Amino acid sequence: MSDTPLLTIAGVAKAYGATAALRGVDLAVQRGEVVAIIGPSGCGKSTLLRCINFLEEPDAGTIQLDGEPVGFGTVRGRRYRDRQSRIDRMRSRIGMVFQQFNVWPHKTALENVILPQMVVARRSATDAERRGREELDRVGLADKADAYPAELSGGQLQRVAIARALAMDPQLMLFDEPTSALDPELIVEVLAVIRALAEARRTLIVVTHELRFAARVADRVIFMDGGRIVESGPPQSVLVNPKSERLRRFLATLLYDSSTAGAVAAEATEISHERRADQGGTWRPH
Amino acid sequence: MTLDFLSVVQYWAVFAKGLALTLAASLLALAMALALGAGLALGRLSRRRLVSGAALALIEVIRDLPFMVLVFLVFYLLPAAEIRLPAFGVGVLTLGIYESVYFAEIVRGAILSVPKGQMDSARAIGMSRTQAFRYVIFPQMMGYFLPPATNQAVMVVKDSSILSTITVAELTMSGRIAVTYTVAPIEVFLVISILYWLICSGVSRAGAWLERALQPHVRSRPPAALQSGHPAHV
Repeated sequence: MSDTPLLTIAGVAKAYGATAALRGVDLAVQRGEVVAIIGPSGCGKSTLLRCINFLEEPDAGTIQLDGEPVGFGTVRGRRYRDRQSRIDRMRSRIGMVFQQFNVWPHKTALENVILPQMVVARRSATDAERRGREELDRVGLADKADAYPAELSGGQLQRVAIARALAMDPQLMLFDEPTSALDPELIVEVLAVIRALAEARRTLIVVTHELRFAARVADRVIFMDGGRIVESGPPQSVLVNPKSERLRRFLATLLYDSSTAGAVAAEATEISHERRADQGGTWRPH
Repeated sequence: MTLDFLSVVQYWAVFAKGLALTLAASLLALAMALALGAGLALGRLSRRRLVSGAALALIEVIRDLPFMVLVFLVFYLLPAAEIRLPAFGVGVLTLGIYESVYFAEIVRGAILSVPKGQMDSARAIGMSRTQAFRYVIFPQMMGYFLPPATNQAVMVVKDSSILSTITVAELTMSGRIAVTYTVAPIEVFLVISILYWLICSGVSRAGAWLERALQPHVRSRPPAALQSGHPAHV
């Protein structure tokens, strides 16, 4: 595959009225890379994700997916908004999973996975159903295909949402705090699905507060604060040896007891080294 | 007091004609109010200030008038503007416009009741605005739309009685005509009441049926724990 990053973000800024949510973010994500974004609430991490698929329109900066500009084009130095149909097509190549699941309650689990395949990807009903069942099976919900969302737990709903996104063959998956709305005992089942995607070398950007998970699964951890990327690097450097005072303080609030801190450190230093050793074929951290 | 329904029933043809006109006026006005109301609701939700402002102004002005005043106003205004319509036409038009502002607010409320994340997930996966509305928002907003809309449809039927004031021979007017023949106002208006009640309960039933037909996911289902036969709950 080519060496150009799958996703290139340069100087992206976004303000809501007088409040700046993003103050110039630069980020390149390689194919097969797993990036975890951490940071206090209001730091801009969700806004950044929503800019990547143009659910929010950045005020400044550029985003490129696979070399193609997202949302805006440039003619003779002037920025113009892309045709909506182009933006829609670009979005279908990016899967997004939300904190609140946003599964469609009037459709069964299977229908949730089938609908976008038919209306966006224009697959036949038979193809969409076959693929829908495959994806539900992948997330462990083959037996819940005909259940309505009201009958499913939060963890199951989030897995339906993941299956729905995967069925579109996205080049990139965005996870916006996928486990923040879940009861502790349901978090594990969702993280297991995301981890399996990471192990399959899919390109993932995960906004999360689960530091152990970030340490274990991410190739790179990014710490955002005040609309900027403050620190970025492999889990062991960001999570175990933070350079900035702000990150140290943030980690201290999340790792309130020494056993959690120890577990994160162990995941970050040992396990992710192992993982890189046996999967280092496609991409190497710089 | 003895009630003499026999003398009333022999004028059934008068009631039948009134009933037919009430049904026709209500149905036409309802169709008009739904279409106009949906348009006004979209207008109010528009991001363009001019459009949303105009829709809001129209809704406010019409909502603050008693229906009878609006009926008289239109009834005398149209001929003055050299527009000649039969009384029935004027009535349907006015009723449709009047009820549309209520439907506009019901439609707007229903759209806003669908959580914003539903639109987000539809757009994020690549649906166009139209597709997202058709497949994701519309089916869900019906759950918020139908109960108050059914109520309002009943109001349309009842408000149509005011068209009797501008010479439309609908059900209420047919009652007043029947009274002049029978001199039995209590019996006549008991019959009229029963007929209104029949129409309106029909409207309510239709609304309830639509609610069930359009929303398979709301049909009372036991929660997942019960379905798997959790003994603690059974």
